[in-house]
Amino acid sequence: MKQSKLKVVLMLVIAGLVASVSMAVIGSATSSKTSSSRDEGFYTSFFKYSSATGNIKPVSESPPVTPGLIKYGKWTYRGLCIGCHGVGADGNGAVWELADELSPDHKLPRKPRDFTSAVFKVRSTPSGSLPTDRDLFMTISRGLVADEDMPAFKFLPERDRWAVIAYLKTLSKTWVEDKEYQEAPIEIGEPPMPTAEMLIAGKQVYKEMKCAKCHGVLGKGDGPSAPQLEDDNGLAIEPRDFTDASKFVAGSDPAGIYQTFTTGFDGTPMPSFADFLEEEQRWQLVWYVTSLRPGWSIEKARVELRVKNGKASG
Amino acid sequence: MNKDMCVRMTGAVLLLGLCSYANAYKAVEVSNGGVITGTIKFSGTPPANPKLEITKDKDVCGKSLTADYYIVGANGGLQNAVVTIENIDSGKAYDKKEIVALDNNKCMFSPHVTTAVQGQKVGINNLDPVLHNTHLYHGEKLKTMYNLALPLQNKVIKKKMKRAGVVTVKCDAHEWMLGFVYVTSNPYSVVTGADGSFTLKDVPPGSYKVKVWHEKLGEVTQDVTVAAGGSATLNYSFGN
Repeated sequence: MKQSKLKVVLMLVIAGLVASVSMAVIGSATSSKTSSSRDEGFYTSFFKYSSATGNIKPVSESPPVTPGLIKYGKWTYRGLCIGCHGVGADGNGAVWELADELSPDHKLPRKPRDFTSAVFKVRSTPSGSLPTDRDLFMTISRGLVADEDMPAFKFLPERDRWAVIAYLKTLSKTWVEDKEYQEAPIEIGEPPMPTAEMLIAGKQVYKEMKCAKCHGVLGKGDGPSAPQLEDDNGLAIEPRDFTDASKFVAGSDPAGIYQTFTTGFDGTPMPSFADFLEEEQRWQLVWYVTSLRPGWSIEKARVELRVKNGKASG
Repeated sequence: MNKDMCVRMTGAVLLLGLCSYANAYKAVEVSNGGVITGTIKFSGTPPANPKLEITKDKDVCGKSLTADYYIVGANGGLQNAVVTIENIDSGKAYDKKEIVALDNNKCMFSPHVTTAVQGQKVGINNLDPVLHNTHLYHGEKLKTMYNLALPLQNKVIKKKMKRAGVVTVKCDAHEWMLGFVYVTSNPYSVVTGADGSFTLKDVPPGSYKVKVWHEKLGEVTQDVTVAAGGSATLNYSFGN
């Protein structure tokens, strides 16, 4: 029953891929991914397909982790994740390894995650701690689309996503060994309404925390340290351009920004600022960073937040 | 229960056993302990330390810095080598709450090499009026262990050393910065001084594998036997 369901999903994916690949071949110039120099092959089409439907935040709880669930997760992984992350789950999948042979344009901007070393970028937990299952769920669902490397998998049934997570956690002994050192996730409250005072204070926090060193005075990702930055794999990595809302890897909403500078992105140069900021300052920084987007205004942001809060409470 | 599950469970039990073994150092009273002492040297002419290219914050970092990879004294004594006993399950007590200092000072890590016992915390401080980020990595593959921003001066951030092994310390904001925390599962570890000498005290009598490690020169393991109340010598020369 569940297998046949997945088969349907897989067939849909394959059908989607075939359709989109042929579309890409026919009219690759029409892609919206204009900033990328990457070849517009199946990968780009997969981005579009995979983010078309589905939810990022989990509705269901993870089913109990049983050998059966892990095996199901492995099966799903072998079907959908292996291309990039590899049989050995070390990030050396064919999509990564064969790119050079094809053309440099096929190279992914970032090496696919090596699950055997268990270092994760997007986490609600402090730097050095493993992510929560929910964090992994959200990353699988959301992808790392802003970095143009990991497609969103939010079209997958929730159970399948939970199963992949259960399997991923068997791939490194860190999940067992680091248990006693694991720190609790940070708490992110409700964002306060932005005010003019908050933005002025936030600008000061941005200055004091020296964010401009990498992200630039205007937040365009062009600070003096920007050209030398590398990730754990020794690949060049750009500081985020705050003026482009689509470039926020952990979500462009206030909570996503709050989490990012509080816990950092392990495996990249983005460090955790947790020890230097009080909660009030964090929200000031969140709104200041958000305000750097073109066309942003306090009034619009307040309306948006009110609508969101209304939805949450209603 | 099927066979597959049996295999899995046996694996889990073995794994748990292994983990508890790794953290199994037991503090006992060492009344008849001996010492291991000696000098680590470099014979011949050591490679030149490269000049580091200072690309920013020159007012704080200085215009030119030289790397501190090879510090060799007049008699060939090699500073910043780590000497540690590899196979010791019980021995002298140590302060688990001791904070191992690691400063960012004039855009270099100070000390350049230090040791910590697994579970101890490293206290990271920024003495410079610029943004540093102390990025600790474990293993040869250099995988992030912690990445901590230090935007303000003189605030110590304490982080636990979770695993034994070499922890490489870098700063993404100043790409030339490099340091090491050598994390051991027991308190018998020491960094050689300016003359290359070292002393490990309160070693229970017995035969040990003693490792000598240097960031650039690699590592060797020597057999050392310590008699009750005695003094054992370990001298080693890297180089030619």
